[in-house]
Amino acid sequence: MSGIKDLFPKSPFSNMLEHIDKVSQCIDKLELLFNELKAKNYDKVELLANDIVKLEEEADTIKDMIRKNITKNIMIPVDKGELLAILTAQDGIADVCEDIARLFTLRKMEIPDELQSAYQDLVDAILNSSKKAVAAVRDLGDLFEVGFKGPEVEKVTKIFDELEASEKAADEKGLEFTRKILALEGKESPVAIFMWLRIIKVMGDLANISEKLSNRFRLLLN
Amino acid sequence: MSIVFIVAVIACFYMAWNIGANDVANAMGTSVGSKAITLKQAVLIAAVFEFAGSVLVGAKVTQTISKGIVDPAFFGDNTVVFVYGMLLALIASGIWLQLATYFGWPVSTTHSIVGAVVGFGVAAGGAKYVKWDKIAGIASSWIISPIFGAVIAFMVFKIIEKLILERDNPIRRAKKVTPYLVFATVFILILSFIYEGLKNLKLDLGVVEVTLIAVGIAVVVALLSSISIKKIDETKSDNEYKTVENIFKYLQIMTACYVAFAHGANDVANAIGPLAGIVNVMATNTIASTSGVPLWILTLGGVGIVVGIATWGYKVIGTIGEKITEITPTRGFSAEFATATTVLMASKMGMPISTTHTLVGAVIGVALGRGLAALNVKVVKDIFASWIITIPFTAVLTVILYNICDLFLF
Repeated sequence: MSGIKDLFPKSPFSNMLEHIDKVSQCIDKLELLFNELKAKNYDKVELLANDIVKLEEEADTIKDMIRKNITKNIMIPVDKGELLAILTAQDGIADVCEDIARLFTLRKMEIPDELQSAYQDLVDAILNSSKKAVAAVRDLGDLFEVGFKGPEVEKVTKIFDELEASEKAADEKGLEFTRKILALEGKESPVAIFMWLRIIKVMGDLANISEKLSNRFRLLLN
Repeated sequence: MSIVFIVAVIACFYMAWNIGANDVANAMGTSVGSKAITLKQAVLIAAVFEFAGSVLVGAKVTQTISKGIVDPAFFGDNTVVFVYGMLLALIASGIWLQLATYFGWPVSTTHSIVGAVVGFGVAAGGAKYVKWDKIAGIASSWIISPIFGAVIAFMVFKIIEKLILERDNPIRRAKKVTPYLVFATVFILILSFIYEGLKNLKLDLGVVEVTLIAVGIAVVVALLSSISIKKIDETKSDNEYKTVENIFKYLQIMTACYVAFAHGANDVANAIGPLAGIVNVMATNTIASTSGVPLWILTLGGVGIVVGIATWGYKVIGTIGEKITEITPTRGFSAEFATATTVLMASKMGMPISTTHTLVGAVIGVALGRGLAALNVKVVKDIFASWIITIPFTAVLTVILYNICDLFLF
């Protein structure tokens, strides 16, 4: 038997915030990686990719700990399934960052001149959606403080609306990039085109999983 | 007989010491954990208000224990039996608490002594010596008090949520609402202080005077509070909820005093109840069923509790305070206000209840209001289950001790 000192386990929300910090760092490193790729600094790309792999592992450790702590002995103010679904989605963001980074280490990819702006547009859209996801999760502490009601909910809902707009934009930019890449058939090496198509798909996943997070999170706000 | 008296006084002091050493920490823990008060402040508040609660309001519950469960009138001229019985109940209860402290079990001092006294009654004359209707009342108060704590805590937290937290400018709202919360807390506290509380100091005031005094003092304190928080910056920022919580730290200081007072009022009886019964019987050498509780006994209990806090209790408060850091001032205030109000009401009705159970009930109330980030339900079950072991243990132990005594002495 234990005393009242064991009544209050660590808040799952603070753990979620620790996890999202790692995810945020992954996104930041990925942003740097995209820039270094543009500048063709392939060494730096390799280094950043390694950083992201390490960060993703650390995020996994925190995720496992959170999953272990949300047992049936604990009572939390939100649906456990929903919280864990959000956790899965935010961990998915770190996973996709890692996938993208890994892809760029497989081959020294060069961005064709006519595709520079399409590339940057897609990068901006997916980074925007994932950063919005981070911002929303970072609000979990305040949302809990006010009981998931009131102006904080409007604040977070707004973030999700912007996130969904970014995701739509990412879809469009991904499509545009794909068209422009395919238009280079014959001019570019088939391997390069093939790799770009794969990269575009995984980049799109970053926006998709961010939207998944926003969908699950919205369920908390009803 | 005088040896019995001395032993009874020692045993009573020991029980009071134990309450101060172990039980008080449960009452003060939430305030220390939320950083509303430091350990030093907690000890000071506990010492002052536990003592005040014991002396000013502790008499009613004491009388329930000293003659409400086992009526001394049943014993007729056989005062010796009653005296020994109460002493043994006290000793049995003390043994159980010592064991529980050693193993770190969160048992209730209230359940201990009630079980022991019932055991004595049954041992001395069979079931007919126990006032079962009173026991039924006490048992139902054990069920009702955590529920009450939960309901009140839930309501208080919801009020805080609706009026302050989920509004546009929480800091401004907090500044507006705080004086009313101050008023409510101070009003109830002062009311319990003086209504029937000063009888022992020979100051008997009527209901109207008492209410007016309480309202007056509460209004003054509320106005002072509204002046002192006027200067707090209302501009919205990232830290606005932190500011609201900081305002509530001051409110939690008040509820810490309130809880300590209520706890002293209800639990001192667990130590001095038997002694009061013994003294009452020995003084008149007959068994009279009416009289108040002598001031010196209430004081003895109060002092015992304070000594317990000062010599050991502070460590326990510290330990609990270090571990209960997840509870914020708004939540702590809600739980403490509910606990103190419930325990104080029970004390006024002469019902001995478990402060810890009430506190856990209040905490559950906050959790049901979605105010707690995480609550360990297994620990809740363990705490609530502890009375199932406590009551049989102390009852049986008392029966055993009584029968041993019976063999050698009577």
